[in-house]
Amino acid sequence: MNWTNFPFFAATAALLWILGMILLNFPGKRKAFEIAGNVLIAAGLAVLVCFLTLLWINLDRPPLRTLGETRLWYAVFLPLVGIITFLRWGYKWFVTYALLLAILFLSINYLHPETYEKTLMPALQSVWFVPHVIVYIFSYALLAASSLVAVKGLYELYFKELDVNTLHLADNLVYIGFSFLTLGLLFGALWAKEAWGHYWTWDPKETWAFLTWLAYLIYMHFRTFQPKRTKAPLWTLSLAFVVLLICWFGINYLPSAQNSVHVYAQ
Amino acid sequence: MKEKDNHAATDQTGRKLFQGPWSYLESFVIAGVLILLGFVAELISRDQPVSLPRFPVNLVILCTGITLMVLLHILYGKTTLIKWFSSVPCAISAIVSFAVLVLLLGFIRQEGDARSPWLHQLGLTHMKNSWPFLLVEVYLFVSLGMVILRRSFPFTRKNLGFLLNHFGLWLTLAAAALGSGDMQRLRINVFEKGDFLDKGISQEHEIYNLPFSLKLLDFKMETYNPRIMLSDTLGSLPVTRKGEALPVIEKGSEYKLNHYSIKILEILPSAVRTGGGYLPSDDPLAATAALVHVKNLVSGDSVTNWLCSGGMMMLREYILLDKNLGLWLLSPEPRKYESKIVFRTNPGNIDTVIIEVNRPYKTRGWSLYQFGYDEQMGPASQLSIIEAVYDPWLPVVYAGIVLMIAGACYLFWLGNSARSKA
Ligand code: HEM
Repeated sequence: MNWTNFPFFAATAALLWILGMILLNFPGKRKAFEIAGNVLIAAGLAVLVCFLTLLWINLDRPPLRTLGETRLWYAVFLPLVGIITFLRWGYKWFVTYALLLAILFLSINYLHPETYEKTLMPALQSVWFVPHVIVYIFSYALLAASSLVAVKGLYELYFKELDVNTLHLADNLVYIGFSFLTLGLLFGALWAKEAWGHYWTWDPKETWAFLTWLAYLIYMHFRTFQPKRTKAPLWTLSLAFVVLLICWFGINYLPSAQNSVHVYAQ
Repeated sequence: MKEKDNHAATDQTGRKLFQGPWSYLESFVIAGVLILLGFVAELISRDQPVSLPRFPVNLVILCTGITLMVLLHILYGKTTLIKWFSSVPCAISAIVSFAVLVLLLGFIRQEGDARSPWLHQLGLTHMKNSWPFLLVEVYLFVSLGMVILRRSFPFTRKNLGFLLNHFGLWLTLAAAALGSGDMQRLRINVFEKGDFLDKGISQEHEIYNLPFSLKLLDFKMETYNPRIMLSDTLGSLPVTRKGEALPVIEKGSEYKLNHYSIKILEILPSAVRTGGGYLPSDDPLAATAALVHVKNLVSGDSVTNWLCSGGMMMLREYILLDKNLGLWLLSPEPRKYESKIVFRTNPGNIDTVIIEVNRPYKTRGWSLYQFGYDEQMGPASQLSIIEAVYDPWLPVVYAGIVLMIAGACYLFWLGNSARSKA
């Protein structure tokens, strides 16, 4: 089991998800369709989880290292976040969004196949590796979703009327996403202490992770103070996502990051 | 970041600047003044990074700071100024200022960028030890401290999540910042068959005595199998597709690179050249060799030959496939390396320990890390670089981190449903 089997698994999952989406969004309120849709989405998720597990076993290391491998985790977590959000708050459009994004990640991986990459440098061989990265991925998936909600809110604000629920959904996603972001940051610090001797060295990657954290912190406090204001927090949340993207992708291109110890994936 | 447009709104009440209750405008003015003062101090102090306080001064500063904040809270808790310190606008101005400085830290290369003297003079190349950074940190500590005090009394269950997050953060930041003056990180270069060493070198290249001495018995490294690559005849221009990793080879497997099919017949992790081929050897100067069968899928030509990754005493050997194209074997990457160390604390107390990446050895407040080795020699390295770290404030930092972890879990469980007072 390795990346050569990926197209098969990815196609199966995507197909199940597309069917699930159609059922879920079928006009008219039919409980049976909704349930069937959710079951299909969950089945697609199960297919991917199978692939992930088999890949992990085959690689003999957690598949959390290359960008392609992280994309795979996003493709698992996004639908998961989508289903949970749907069950909790009932937003159908959100499930659709999560699934489309997951399919996008799968397609990127299909177009940029990865070869057999089995090595894991000693610093990455730690019990912290898996929790640190998974918590981060989960948090990024939630925060990305919150920013999309913010963009939707801005659209409503400028062209329609802002629905209060839009901001509430954004808040919920940020709170949960932020708690995971905090955990990711702290696990990272604890791990760095074991691996490199210090928990915080202001390495570029750490610096940008911290900035991302601060950006969401600003949003949260802004909201507590003046819950009636809408425009500024919506913009803040959209901007916070830009910082997050820099931290995630841009870091490899920043001049100050050329000697970062945390830039692995070429 | 995106706070500018709030000023207008908060001041629509017609209240004048610095007439109570202070809001965003006042907060950002104060934060801005602090940063400016910091830059002025940098200009005056001429390139001298602020030296952080050491024990016991840092402890005294911490205790005085806490006492002052408690007194201010008790005596003047109702005044505009103190109420403002514990308000969200003050908090946001502190977080934003901190973020701006960290942003600069993220963009400007630290440590002696001589090309731009004014960056240097403003302290931007030693941000962590600069006055603006220090002042903003103090501002953040005071703001966070005052809100913690205001929300802690009277204590209610509803405040638990708030306190875990805020006090945890406060404790972590305070201990990390004040403790950094006491921290020591020393490198010790120990050689196999060398003697006991009791001195380490700091990052500033100063030599310090250690309260113990150590000696290297053995440095050991395990490696992964080597990778192969197609490259020019100098081995310096690898031919890869974007995003594709070079394959790590395995005996018996076949790999396709461009229009070549490569079958791995044999891998010798440690080999020496003899006559027409390579033989296994445990000579420390041996290198990795592989016997491969290469087939050109276009022309049908094929060749079987040895590749060698090369080493201290052995040449790299590649297979010429084309005028400008060779098949190369790379040096194997480390899977694991460790040092067997004899560790001596005063009179005759001797311990033999193994130090490995991610598995430091801890004793008497010091932690010893496997830091590096002689990379030219790889597995045959006789040198092991050990880093000894002393950080007496670590338990306090960890206490703060544990509180924050609890706070994050709380935030996760309750979401923002805890925010009913809004
Ligand atoms: C771990 C980081 C932090 C988290 C998770 C966090 C979270 C929160 C939350 C959820 C609230 C509103 C809920 C409540 O009042 O119980 C809040 C309020 C507040 N936070 Fe934070 N915060 C953090 C860091 C900070 C920092 C660094 C500051 C200041 C420098 C700060 C200052 C404040 C203030 C002033 C309030 C308003 C309290 C009040 O008016 O009663 N927080 N914070």
